[in-house]
Amino acid sequence: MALPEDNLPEDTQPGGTPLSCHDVVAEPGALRALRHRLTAWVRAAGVPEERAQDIVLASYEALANVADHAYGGDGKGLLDLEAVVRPDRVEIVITDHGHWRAPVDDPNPVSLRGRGLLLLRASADHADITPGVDGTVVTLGWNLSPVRSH
Amino acid sequence: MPETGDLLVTVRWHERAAVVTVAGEIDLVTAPELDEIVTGVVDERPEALVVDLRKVTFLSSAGLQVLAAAHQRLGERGLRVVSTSHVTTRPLTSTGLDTWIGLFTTVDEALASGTEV
Repeated sequence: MALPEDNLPEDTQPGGTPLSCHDVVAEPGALRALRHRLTAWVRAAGVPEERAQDIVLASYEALANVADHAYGGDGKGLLDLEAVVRPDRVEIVITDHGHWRAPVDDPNPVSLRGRGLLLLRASADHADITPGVDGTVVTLGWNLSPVRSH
Repeated sequence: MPETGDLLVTVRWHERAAVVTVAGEIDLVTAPELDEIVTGVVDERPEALVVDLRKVTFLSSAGLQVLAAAHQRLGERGLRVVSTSHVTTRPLTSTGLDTWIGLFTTVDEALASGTEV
Protein backbone atom coordinates (compact mmCIF):
# COMPACT_ATOMS: atom_id res chain seq x y z
CA MET A 1 0.00 0.00 0.00
CA ALA A 2 1.46 3.31 -1.00
CA LEU A 3 0.34 5.98 1.39
CA PRO A 4 -0.51 9.31 -0.17
CA GLU A 5 1.80 12.02 1.09
CA ASP A 6 0.41 14.86 3.10
CA ASN A 7 -3.08 13.49 2.76
CA LEU A 8 -3.75 12.47 6.29
CA PRO A 9 -6.56 10.16 7.23
CA GLU A 10 -9.06 10.85 9.99
CA ASP A 11 -7.30 8.53 12.42
CA THR A 12 -4.44 10.94 13.01
CA GLN A 13 -6.54 13.08 15.32
CA PRO A 14 -5.54 13.79 18.91
CA GLY A 15 -6.97 11.84 21.77
CA GLY A 16 -4.70 8.83 21.87
CA THR A 17 -6.08 6.97 18.86
CA PRO A 18 -3.61 4.24 17.92
CA LEU A 19 -1.97 4.44 14.52
CA SER A 20 -2.02 1.24 12.53
CA CYS A 21 -0.43 0.89 9.09
CA HIS A 22 -0.29 -2.52 7.47
CA ASP A 23 1.39 -3.91 4.34
CA VAL A 24 3.48 -0.82 3.67
CA VAL A 25 5.94 -1.43 0.83
CA ALA A 26 9.51 -1.20 2.14
CA GLU A 27 10.76 1.25 -0.47
CA PRO A 28 11.93 4.85 0.02
CA GLY A 29 8.84 6.69 -1.24
CA ALA A 30 6.37 4.65 0.79
CA LEU A 31 8.57 4.85 3.90
CA ARG A 32 8.71 8.64 3.55
CA ALA A 33 4.91 8.77 3.34
CA LEU A 34 4.66 6.53 6.41
CA ARG A 35 7.09 8.81 8.27
CA HIS A 36 4.93 11.83 7.43
CA ARG A 37 1.90 10.02 8.72
CA LEU A 38 3.70 9.06 11.94
CA THR A 39 4.93 12.65 12.37
CA ALA A 40 1.38 13.99 12.11
CA TRP A 41 0.12 11.34 14.52
CA VAL A 42 2.79 11.94 17.17
CA ARG A 43 2.29 15.73 17.01
CA ALA A 44 -1.47 15.32 17.22
CA ALA A 45 -0.94 13.19 20.31
CA GLY A 46 0.61 16.23 22.01
CA VAL A 47 4.13 14.86 22.33
CA PRO A 48 6.68 17.68 22.83
CA GLU A 49 8.49 18.63 19.62
CA GLU A 50 11.98 17.30 20.39
CA ARG A 51 10.57 14.04 21.70
CA ALA A 52 8.43 13.81 18.60
CA GLN A 53 11.54 14.22 16.45
CA ASP A 54 13.30 11.41 18.34
CA ILE A 55 10.29 9.13 17.90
CA VAL A 56 10.09 9.81 14.19
CA LEU A 57 13.84 9.39 13.69
CA ALA A 58 14.17 6.08 15.56
CA SER A 59 11.10 4.70 13.83
CA TYR A 60 12.37 5.77 10.44
CA GLU A 61 15.76 4.14 11.07
CA ALA A 62 13.97 0.90 11.92
CA LEU A 63 11.93 1.17 8.72
CA ALA A 64 15.03 2.06 6.69
CA ASN A 65 16.87 -0.96 8.05
CA VAL A 66 14.01 -3.13 6.88
CA ALA A 67 14.18 -1.60 3.40
CA ASP A 68 17.95 -1.82 3.27
CA HIS A 69 18.52 -5.19 4.87
CA ALA A 70 15.48 -7.35 5.43
CA TYR A 71 14.50 -7.23 1.80
CA GLY A 72 17.88 -6.52 0.26
CA GLY A 73 16.71 -3.17 -1.02
CA ASP A 74 14.55 -4.67 -3.74
CA GLY A 75 11.50 -2.86 -2.43
CA LYS A 76 9.24 -5.88 -2.61
CA GLY A 77 8.85 -6.55 1.09
CA LEU A 78 6.00 -5.39 3.25
CA LEU A 79 6.00 -4.17 6.81
CA ASP A 80 3.54 -3.19 9.51
CA LEU A 81 3.70 -0.31 11.97
CA GLU A 82 1.59 0.00 15.11
CA ALA A 83 1.86 3.05 17.35
CA VAL A 84 0.11 3.70 20.63
CA VAL A 85 0.33 6.66 22.98
CA ARG A 86 -0.41 6.32 26.68
CA PRO A 87 -0.34 9.11 29.27
CA ASP A 88 3.28 8.33 30.18
CA ARG A 89 4.59 6.43 27.20
CA VAL A 90 4.69 6.04 23.44
CA GLU A 91 5.22 2.58 22.01
CA ILE A 92 5.83 1.70 18.38
CA VAL A 93 6.09 -1.80 16.98
CA ILE A 94 7.44 -2.41 13.48
CA THR A 95 7.18 -5.87 12.01
CA ASP A 96 8.70 -7.16 8.83
CA HIS A 97 8.74 -10.54 7.21
CA GLY A 98 12.38 -10.64 6.15
CA HIS A 99 15.62 -11.18 7.98
CA TRP A 100 17.12 -8.44 10.13
CA ARG A 101 20.77 -7.97 9.44
CA ALA A 102 22.87 -6.55 12.25
CA PRO A 103 25.54 -4.10 11.15
CA VAL A 104 29.05 -5.43 10.77
CA ASP A 105 31.46 -4.10 13.37
CA ASP A 106 33.79 -1.63 11.77
CA PRO A 107 36.80 -0.18 13.59
CA ASN A 108 36.67 2.97 11.46
CA PRO A 109 34.92 5.61 13.58
CA VAL A 110 33.48 7.33 10.53
CA SER A 111 32.59 4.20 8.65
CA LEU A 112 29.72 4.38 6.24
CA ARG A 113 27.56 1.63 7.68
CA GLY A 114 25.97 0.73 10.95
CA ARG A 115 24.99 4.26 11.88
CA GLY A 116 21.28 3.61 11.50
CA LEU A 117 21.11 1.18 14.37
CA LEU A 118 23.20 3.52 16.51
CA LEU A 119 20.74 6.33 15.82
CA LEU A 120 17.80 4.06 16.51
CA ARG A 121 19.14 3.09 19.92
CA ALA A 122 20.20 6.63 20.81
CA SER A 123 16.81 8.11 19.94
CA ALA A 124 14.62 5.65 21.84
CA ASP A 125 14.37 5.05 25.59
CA HIS A 126 13.76 1.38 24.95
CA ALA A 127 14.65 -0.55 21.82
CA ASP A 128 14.15 -4.25 21.41
CA ILE A 129 14.90 -6.10 18.20
CA THR A 130 13.62 -9.64 18.10
CA PRO A 131 14.50 -11.71 15.05
CA GLY A 132 12.20 -14.61 14.34
CA VAL A 133 11.76 -17.22 11.70
CA ASP A 134 8.99 -15.26 10.01
CA GLY A 135 10.68 -11.88 10.26
CA THR A 136 11.73 -9.32 12.81
CA VAL A 137 9.82 -7.34 15.41
CA VAL A 138 11.27 -4.00 16.48
CA THR A 139 9.69 -2.56 19.63
CA LEU A 140 10.52 1.04 20.48
CA GLY A 141 9.43 2.91 23.59
CA TRP A 142 9.66 6.44 24.91
CA ASN A 143 8.79 7.71 28.37
CA LEU A 144 6.71 10.87 28.49
CA SER A 145 6.25 13.36 31.26
CA PRO A 146 2.50 13.64 31.81
CA VAL A 147 2.28 17.32 30.88
CA ARG A 148 -1.03 17.30 29.06
CA SER A 149 -4.34 16.94 30.81
CA HIS A 150 -7.54 16.44 28.83
CA MET B 1 19.51 25.61 -8.30
CA PRO B 2 19.12 21.86 -8.84
CA GLU B 3 15.92 20.52 -7.36
CA THR B 4 16.04 16.95 -6.08
CA GLY B 5 12.57 15.86 -5.13
CA ASP B 6 11.69 18.26 -2.36
CA LEU B 7 15.35 18.72 -1.42
CA LEU B 8 16.81 22.06 -2.49
CA VAL B 9 20.57 22.21 -2.75
CA THR B 10 22.69 25.21 -3.68
CA VAL B 11 26.45 25.28 -4.13
CA ARG B 12 28.46 28.50 -3.78
CA TRP B 13 32.20 28.97 -3.83
CA HIS B 14 34.15 31.39 -1.65
CA GLU B 15 37.56 31.21 -3.27
CA ARG B 16 38.64 27.61 -2.54
CA ALA B 17 35.90 26.92 0.00
CA ALA B 18 32.54 25.50 -1.05
CA VAL B 19 29.26 26.16 0.75
CA VAL B 20 26.50 23.63 0.12
CA THR B 21 23.13 24.80 1.44
CA VAL B 22 20.47 22.14 1.86
CA ALA B 23 16.74 22.58 2.50
CA GLY B 24 14.23 19.79 2.96
CA GLU B 25 14.25 16.24 4.25
CA ILE B 26 17.34 14.03 3.95
CA ASP B 27 16.16 10.44 3.89
CA LEU B 28 16.39 7.38 1.64
CA VAL B 29 14.58 9.30 -1.10
CA THR B 30 16.91 12.29 -1.23
CA ALA B 31 20.26 11.09 0.18
CA PRO B 32 21.46 9.62 -3.15
CA GLU B 33 20.92 12.94 -4.92
CA LEU B 34 22.60 14.89 -2.13
CA ASP B 35 25.49 12.43 -2.28
CA GLU B 36 25.86 13.07 -5.99
CA ILE B 37 26.06 16.83 -5.49
CA VAL B 38 28.42 16.65 -2.50
CA THR B 39 30.65 14.13 -4.28
CA GLY B 40 30.84 16.49 -7.26
CA VAL B 41 31.92 19.34 -4.98
CA VAL B 42 34.51 17.18 -3.21
CA ASP B 43 35.87 16.15 -6.63
CA GLU B 44 36.80 19.83 -7.09
CA ARG B 45 39.13 19.46 -4.08
CA PRO B 46 37.89 22.38 -1.98
CA GLU B 47 40.08 23.57 0.89
CA ALA B 48 36.95 23.48 3.03
CA LEU B 49 33.41 22.27 2.51
CA VAL B 50 30.68 23.89 4.58
CA VAL B 51 27.33 22.05 4.58
CA ASP B 52 24.55 24.29 5.86
CA LEU B 53 21.76 22.15 7.33
CA ARG B 54 19.75 24.93 8.95
CA LYS B 55 16.81 24.46 6.59
CA VAL B 56 16.81 20.68 6.86
CA THR B 57 13.70 19.35 8.59
CA PHE B 58 14.70 15.69 8.82
CA LEU B 59 18.12 14.02 8.89
CA SER B 60 18.45 10.25 8.89
CA SER B 61 21.47 7.95 8.82
CA ALA B 62 21.32 8.03 5.02
CA GLY B 63 22.26 11.71 5.25
CA LEU B 64 24.92 11.05 7.88
CA GLN B 65 26.55 8.63 5.46
CA VAL B 66 26.84 11.39 2.87
CA LEU B 67 28.58 13.62 5.43
CA ALA B 68 30.85 10.83 6.70
CA ALA B 69 31.91 9.98 3.15
CA ALA B 70 32.75 13.62 2.45
CA HIS B 71 34.70 13.84 5.70
CA GLN B 72 36.73 10.77 4.79
CA ARG B 73 37.70 12.25 1.44
CA LEU B 74 38.41 15.77 2.68
CA GLY B 75 40.46 14.87 5.72
CA GLU B 76 40.63 16.49 9.10
CA ARG B 77 38.83 19.85 9.46
CA GLY B 78 37.89 19.90 5.79
CA LEU B 79 34.16 19.35 6.37
CA ARG B 80 32.21 21.78 8.55
CA VAL B 81 28.51 21.51 9.24
CA VAL B 82 26.19 24.37 10.14
CA SER B 83 23.38 23.12 12.36
CA THR B 84 21.21 24.95 14.87
CA SER B 85 18.26 22.64 15.48
CA HIS B 86 17.69 19.47 17.47
CA VAL B 87 16.52 17.69 14.33
CA THR B 88 19.93 18.00 12.64
CA THR B 89 22.30 18.31 15.61
CA ARG B 90 20.97 15.31 17.54
CA PRO B 91 21.79 12.70 14.85
CA LEU B 92 25.33 14.09 14.54
CA THR B 93 26.01 14.10 18.28
CA SER B 94 24.30 10.84 19.20
CA THR B 95 26.40 8.95 16.65
CA GLY B 96 29.60 10.74 17.68
CA LEU B 97 30.15 12.21 14.23
CA ASP B 98 30.52 15.65 15.80
CA THR B 99 33.88 14.58 17.23
CA TRP B 100 35.13 14.29 13.64
CA ILE B 101 33.08 16.91 11.86
CA GLY B 102 33.04 20.46 13.21
CA LEU B 103 29.59 21.88 14.05
CA PHE B 104 28.95 25.61 13.72
CA THR B 105 26.00 27.93 14.10
CA THR B 106 26.69 30.19 11.11
CA VAL B 107 28.30 29.78 7.69
CA ASP B 108 30.71 32.65 8.39
CA GLU B 109 31.89 30.98 11.58
CA ALA B 110 32.38 27.70 9.72
CA LEU B 111 34.31 29.40 6.91
CA ALA B 112 36.51 31.29 9.36
CA SER B 113 37.39 28.26 11.46
CA GLY B 114 40.19 27.20 9.13
CA THR B 115 41.91 30.58 9.11
CA GLU B 116 42.30 31.12 12.82
CA VAL B 117 45.28 28.80 13.27
